[in-house]
Amino acid sequence: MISKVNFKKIMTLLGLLGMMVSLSVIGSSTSFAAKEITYMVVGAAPFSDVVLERLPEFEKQTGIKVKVVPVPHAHTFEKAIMETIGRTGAYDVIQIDRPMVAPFGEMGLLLPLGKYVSDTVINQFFDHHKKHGTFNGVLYALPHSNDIRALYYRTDLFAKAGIPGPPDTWEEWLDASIKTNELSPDVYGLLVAGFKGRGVWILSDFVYQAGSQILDENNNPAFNDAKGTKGLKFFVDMYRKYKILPPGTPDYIWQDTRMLFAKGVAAMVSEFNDIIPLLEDPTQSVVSGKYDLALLPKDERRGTNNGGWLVGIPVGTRNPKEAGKLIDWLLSVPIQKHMCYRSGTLSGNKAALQKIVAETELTNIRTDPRSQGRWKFYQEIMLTTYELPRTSAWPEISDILSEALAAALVGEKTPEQAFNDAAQEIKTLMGS
Amino acid sequence: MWMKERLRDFTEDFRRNIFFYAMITPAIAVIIILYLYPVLKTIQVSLYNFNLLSGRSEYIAFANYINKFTSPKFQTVLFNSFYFTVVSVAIETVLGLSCALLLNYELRGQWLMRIVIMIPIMVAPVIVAYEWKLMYNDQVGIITYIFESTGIIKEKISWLSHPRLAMWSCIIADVWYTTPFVILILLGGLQSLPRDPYEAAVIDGANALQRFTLITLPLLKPVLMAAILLKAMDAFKMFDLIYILTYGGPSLKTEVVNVHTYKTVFRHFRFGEGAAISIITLFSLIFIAIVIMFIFKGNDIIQKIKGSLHL
Amino acid sequence: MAKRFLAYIAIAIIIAFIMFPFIWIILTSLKFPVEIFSYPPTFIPRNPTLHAYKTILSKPDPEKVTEMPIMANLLNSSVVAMSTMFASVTIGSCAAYGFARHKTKLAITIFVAILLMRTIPRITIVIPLYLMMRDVGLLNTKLAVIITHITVTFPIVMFLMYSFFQDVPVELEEAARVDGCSRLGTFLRIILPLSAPGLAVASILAFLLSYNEFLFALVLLSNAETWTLPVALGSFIQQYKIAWDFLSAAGTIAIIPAVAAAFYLQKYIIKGLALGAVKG
Repeated sequence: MISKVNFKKIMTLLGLLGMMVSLSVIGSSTSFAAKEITYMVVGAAPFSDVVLERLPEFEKQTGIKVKVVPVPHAHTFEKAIMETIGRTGAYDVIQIDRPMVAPFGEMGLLLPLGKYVSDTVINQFFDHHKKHGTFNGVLYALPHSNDIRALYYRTDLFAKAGIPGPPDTWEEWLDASIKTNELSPDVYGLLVAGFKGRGVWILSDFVYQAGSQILDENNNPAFNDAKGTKGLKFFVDMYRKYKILPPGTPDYIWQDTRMLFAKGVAAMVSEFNDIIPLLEDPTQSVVSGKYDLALLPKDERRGTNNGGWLVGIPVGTRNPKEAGKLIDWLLSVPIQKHMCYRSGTLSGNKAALQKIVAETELTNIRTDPRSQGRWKFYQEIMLTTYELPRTSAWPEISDILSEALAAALVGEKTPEQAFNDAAQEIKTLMGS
Repeated sequence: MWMKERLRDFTEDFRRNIFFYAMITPAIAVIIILYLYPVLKTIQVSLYNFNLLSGRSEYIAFANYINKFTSPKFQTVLFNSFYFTVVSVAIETVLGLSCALLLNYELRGQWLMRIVIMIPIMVAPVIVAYEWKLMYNDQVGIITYIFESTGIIKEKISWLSHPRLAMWSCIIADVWYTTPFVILILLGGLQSLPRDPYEAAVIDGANALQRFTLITLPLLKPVLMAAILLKAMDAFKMFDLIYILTYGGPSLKTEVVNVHTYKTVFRHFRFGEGAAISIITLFSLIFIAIVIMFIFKGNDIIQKIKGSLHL
Repeated sequence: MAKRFLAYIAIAIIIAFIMFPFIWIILTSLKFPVEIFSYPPTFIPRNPTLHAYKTILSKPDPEKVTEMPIMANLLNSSVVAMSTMFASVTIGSCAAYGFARHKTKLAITIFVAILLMRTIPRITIVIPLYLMMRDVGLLNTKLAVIITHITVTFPIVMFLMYSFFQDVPVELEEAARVDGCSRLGTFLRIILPLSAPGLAVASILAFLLSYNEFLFALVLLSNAETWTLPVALGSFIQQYKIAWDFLSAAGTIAIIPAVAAAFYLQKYIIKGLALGAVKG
């Protein structure tokens, strides 16, 4: 004996439920047409976005339709791993970053590129870039983009502090930082990112510049020797002794250092090539026109590591040939040139870079007044890049180093202690 | 012999109480079909040293567990998790109960009040986490501004990298986000309470404090216990907030179990070890649940145990 | 009278505190990026702007292939969350009633087992669940996500309703049974209406848990059109930039379906249940 009102209510609820269920089942699974491939990209990445603007050209040329799936940056690894482990064929081409190459290679999750990508394109790449995408002698991925760091410094603050030019050595760097730091209580000498992996990248730079390296040829920890520890000490002293780094450095991510430099909080920052659009944007920056770029200073030698994204073909794909064609196109000279001009990132394709340097199109690179010398400058930097250990244990090594860095920065351990403990852990890890 | 008796009791029980078993069946079906396999797989994998990268997997019995319990790193992780749980839940309960009592005061527009409280918890956790990271920024954050402008600190400090402040920063962010949940649950409980005892108490001349301690609290016990238990379990399993704010730093000061599990599975690729940590988490949560139930129903449970021992 | 006034003030302060992070998000969505990072921080935007909202509501930009179709993602989330809520509340409250009124040792064991299932972290569960869904061909469907969400949310509903049911006196039920009401009828027309506030809370929690759930949605779905809201929000946390203006705008818009659901729940369903009890 359900009353009329209740009956109506129950019917509406059931109706809603039925609608929900049917809505959820229809029209959600994708089926792949004979010549449609799916390309997993890092979302909101300018280097990729500007290339994909020209995707219709590819589709016209080859008759292959490309469906683009943007994955949020923080989760590209999880998504790529899950879909490839599952061999679902959901993605035909994926973007991965350099630390991912070793795990993917070791788990056998990528197809050897040589079979599907034309030799012409492969041979156009720098040798060291080919190495980045190689694991156990097989080429699995090639760099689509390269992000390399330089020292951006405030010309106005340097002038005020009486510093003639950008620092070339560590001594000059420390000197410049202290002088600019003293200019005003609101301005710090230097900005670097310190949060988890990013801090490790900055630390690796210091270790390398001091003349050491993270792992040696036998994959043993080498960073805790005198030179490597000097590198850590340099970082720690800048933070604790001279206080030229802001107190929040250990939890700064790239977003923070960029934003703070654009707000004029520091005189220098170690940052990637695509910070320039941010610095020129009047709604976000107050330093437009007041900065310049320089090579990161050297101690025993110069160096900085290579970031950026590579493209590869996951094993579950049902369209490897078409995937190869897409990669051919993405890494071809005209498209790489387009990427460089429009997004400011560096290409790994030798032929493309040569063309850029030679062409007069140089002057059309957006509104960047430094465009003329910029590509030559970035070529210089590229000559100084070193590679982080290409081992699948890198994420864990990175976490261990990040803990060591934090312990040293907050004063819990001395630099020697922190590095020795970390080396011990890594040794146990690599041995197992 | 004993099994047969049990089976007979069960079938007898079943026939007499078909309705209740019917009510329970859908839940059991869902669990068995969807959760049992993954959970059993987890238990199984925890006994191997399964490495996702090499695919290598050897049976090592309880080695994973022993390694974890004897590793000082993991002991810190467990301690951090318990610390975080106890402190957060204590603050949330006190704040939540006080607010819920206050909000229960006015009777008009209750539903509007409830919706207003619900709004902050509808915001996606990822936004809340990054928002707090920005608020804790040592240069441009609101927290820095408040402390600097009121003169409590003379120069900027790092809220998330200071070894002693980091955990508290995480706790405060979590309390702020979770207290509305507690208020919501307790408010629902308060509003389900029957009116009669209160009317009788007023007639008998009981004042507000007496009404609270002698009527509200005892009647609210089940809901209060449910809220505390749920939030304690959630706090112990906290991941998003800490992952984004500190990633377990600085130097493991805020590393809690789920952050550690994530690192073990997705950064170190040691799935067997990750499974073992998950099972340890399971037992820790059982422990927490038992403690909470003891606090609330201590006497009842002791009586029940006494009773069943005499069977 | 003074007491009432004080109570209002206290309530206002509480609400202000609770709402503060949310208000901050709304204000941020109306600012330009440079103001978001200004120090001292500004509360009321100096140059309020709707650019973030305009962009979000017009996504995806047909020119920009790599933007997430946020409004479509929002719809996906709403559908998933609503379905999860209905299913989860039904399964959960039925089970809770069963356990609350029938406390044999076996029943208690099952009850505890169900609660314990929730304790295994999602990160560990996600890989076996993903492989299961792949094997039955449900990958990249909303159904897979709904099913996993139900599994995750109904234990909470069950536990909450169990405690709310404890507060309903057994005598009422017995009186109804004596009057000739069936077990199911008692449940629907006496117990549920009396625990209506509890039901409202449990429903909204189930909805929110599903609506904001990230991991399963990310892993089980693989296209921009099928993804849900949390993934879309994640697209604003970019490699070198957090697009705060868009993130806050999207976050604010995202609340609307949740508020609508809560509103509907509070006003109509609960009132309907309560009315039903009176009439029956």
